[in-house]
Amino acid sequence: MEKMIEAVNVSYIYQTKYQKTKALSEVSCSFERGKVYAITGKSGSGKSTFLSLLAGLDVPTEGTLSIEGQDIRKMDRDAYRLNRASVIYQAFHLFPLLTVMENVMFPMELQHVARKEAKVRAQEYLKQVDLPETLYKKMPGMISGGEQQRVAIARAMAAGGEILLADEPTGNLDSQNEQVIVDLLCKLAHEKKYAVIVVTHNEAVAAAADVVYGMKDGELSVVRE
Amino acid sequence: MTTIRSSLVRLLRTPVKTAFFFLLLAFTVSLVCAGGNLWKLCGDNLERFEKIFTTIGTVEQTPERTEQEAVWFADEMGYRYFNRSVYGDIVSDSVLDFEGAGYLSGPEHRAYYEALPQDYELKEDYEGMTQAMIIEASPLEDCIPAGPVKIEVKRVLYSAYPVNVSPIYLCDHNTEHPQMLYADKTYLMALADGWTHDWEEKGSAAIFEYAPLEGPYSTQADADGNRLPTALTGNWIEELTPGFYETERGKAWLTLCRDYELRALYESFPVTATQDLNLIMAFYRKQAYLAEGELFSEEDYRQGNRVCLVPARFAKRNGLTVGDSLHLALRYANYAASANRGGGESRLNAEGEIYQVFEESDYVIKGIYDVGVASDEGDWGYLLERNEVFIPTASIKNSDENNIAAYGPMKGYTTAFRIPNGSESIENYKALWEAQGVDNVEITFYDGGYTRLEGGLKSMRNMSLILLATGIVSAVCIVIFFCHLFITKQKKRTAIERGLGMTKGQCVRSLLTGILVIALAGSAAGAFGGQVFAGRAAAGMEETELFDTRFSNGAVQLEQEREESDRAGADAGEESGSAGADETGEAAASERVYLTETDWRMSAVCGGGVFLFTIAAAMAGVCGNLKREPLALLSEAGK
Repeated sequence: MEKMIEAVNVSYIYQTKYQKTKALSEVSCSFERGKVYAITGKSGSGKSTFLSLLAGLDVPTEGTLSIEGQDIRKMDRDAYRLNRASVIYQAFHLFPLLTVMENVMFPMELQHVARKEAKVRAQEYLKQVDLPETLYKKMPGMISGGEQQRVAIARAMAAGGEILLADEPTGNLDSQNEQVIVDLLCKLAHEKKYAVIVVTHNEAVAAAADVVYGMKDGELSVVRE
Repeated sequence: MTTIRSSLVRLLRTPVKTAFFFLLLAFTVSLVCAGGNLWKLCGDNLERFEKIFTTIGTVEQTPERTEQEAVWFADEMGYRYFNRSVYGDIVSDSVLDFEGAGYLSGPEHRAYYEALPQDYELKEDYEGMTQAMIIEASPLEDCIPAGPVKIEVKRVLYSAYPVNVSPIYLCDHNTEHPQMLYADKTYLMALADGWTHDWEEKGSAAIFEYAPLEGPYSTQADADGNRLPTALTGNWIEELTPGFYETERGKAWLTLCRDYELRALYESFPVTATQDLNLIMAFYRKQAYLAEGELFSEEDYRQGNRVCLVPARFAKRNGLTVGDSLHLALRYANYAASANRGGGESRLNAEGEIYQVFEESDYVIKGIYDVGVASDEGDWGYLLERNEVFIPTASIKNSDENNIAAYGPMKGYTTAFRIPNGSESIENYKALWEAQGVDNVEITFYDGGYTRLEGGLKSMRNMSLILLATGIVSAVCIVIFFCHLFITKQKKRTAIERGLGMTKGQCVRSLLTGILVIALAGSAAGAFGGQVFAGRAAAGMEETELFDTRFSNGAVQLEQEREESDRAGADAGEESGSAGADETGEAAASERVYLTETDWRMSAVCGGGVFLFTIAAAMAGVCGNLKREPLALLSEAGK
């Protein structure tokens, strides 16, 4: 299958006033559509840095990271995140002062989708993540963690991209909600053909992944393919 | 648009925080605007008053003692008692020349100059009832003129009018034991008419009599004020002996007659030379005011332009108007008194001769002044003489040193100076003056109420500065606090927005729109509120602070005088509402001169300043937010 994302000898150095820290060291790997990828590793191993590069929030210090063959350095990375890659987080990070519906509509409105159209599509996405309609007008703080994460996934889907990056998406959830989220991620990969890349400590999440990478001291290795 | 709308939506969903920010910002901006406006207003008023008011000091040598003088009145057959000030050595006006005095004009020990009347009409129709005459006469019988005695007029050497009656009555009114007069002798005598012995009892049937008038005498002084020695005695009567008119004394009598022919008794054409009309109390107090034309300019004083101010009635009597020429022939100077207080100087110099004109020029009438209702405060010397003409001191090119008819100690109405306005200036002068150690010269300051006004305005300006500073500090704290709430604490929001693909510019708009909308509304409301508040405070200032522009206490005046002055100021304030106040200088006593209009530009600057500061603080916060790496921030927050 065609490589969606390809990293070749990607290194990343954090440079402060007093020292340099190599967070990633010559990482090479690729990600395809329709698969769930898990990146495991201890805290500080470089997982989140790698995810940050994949999200286009930063660029590699060395090496090449390309999206469908295009070097990420040469891309409009804001547009890339807006239209092609979405990120979900362990703490959900919904906008606390916008309703559930408005949170999901937000990326579409950034893409200049008409409000009416955005609302219809947001309802659709929320249905797909099995969120009860009664919660649509509620504020994020008024719903449970699992529901919030489902809203976050619906928001990621609303952006309409093909790449879903998840940073410990089940870290704040109980086991029941954890399974729901894992199933949703797998469904997005396998049915909607998303490239789902999950940074996780959770073995259950890793077990559900199609490919598992391990990250240690900034070096990436294949654990299971 | 999405980012702006979303920003505003979020703002409305925190109504308490939003309302607090709006209200607090509006309040502090109103403090800033009110403080700023009042501060500017006080400054403007001080500047305005600085131009309106002048501070002068009058200088007076204090008498060594006061003596009671007994004067005999023949009609009352008794003495009347008068107080007379006795001065020691005359203190030179050079004591006023010391370093650091900071004079704006003066000090001047002013003289008035007697000008020859020439063809100018100096008298009103009703004036000049009392006249002088110099005659040769003999009593009808030997007598002592302790009461009215008949004398036969043998020859009239001078009289203001024809003497058709003889004999006339003579009485040596002010001498208890007059000398004996003999019928077989002829006497030369100087007399004044208009006296009676029993006017109150008999009215017009009373005996009209003549009384002695000074004969030839001289008060001429040198430039240092020392009286010149003279042989003239001032006796009103002399026994005529053969060849008397060939003697020095006889010649002096004839010269005196010639002088009366030049200028009748009480006929006066005084010209006062000054470096600054503000030093003339009548002008300073606005009792004398310009009716036509202009006052002297700085250039007139500096260059000594031959320009003059004439009194309105004199101008009318002589058909003169602004721009006309006035011929002034100055004969002698009197440094002892003002023109109104004047007299006392002799008509003849120490040699028994008439003073010769020492300065003669045509002056252009620059202004015509009139005199309103005079204040009854102080000495008559402060009032103006009816024909008094003013000229710049520097316009007199020739020295008057040989024509000083009288010289006396410095008086408040002859000696004055001007210094900068303000209590600081007065206190400084006072300290320097005290350091001179001159203890028999008293200086009284007049500032037209400036010190009181200045004190009030400076207090108010300090208050407004405190208000301004409080407002600024509060506004800064509030802006920083709410920027923290609305922006710095929204790092996570920025990170989420960046994660969702918003550009940095969109993130900036998203964060700034809300806070800036409130800040704009708060600043505008506060600026308006501050403007209204300042306007009302200024109006209140005008209502409560009426003042007396005529005079105010001086730094060296007694506390009692100070209280009287304050009371006068208060009275003037109470009278301010009544219609028909004096039309001249007195009206100024209750004049409202405060500037009370606030400046909307000041409010705009203050409000705008706070708004700009909010933008700057918010931008700083936003930049801080954008510096943080979004994913790291959100990962941290999750953990």
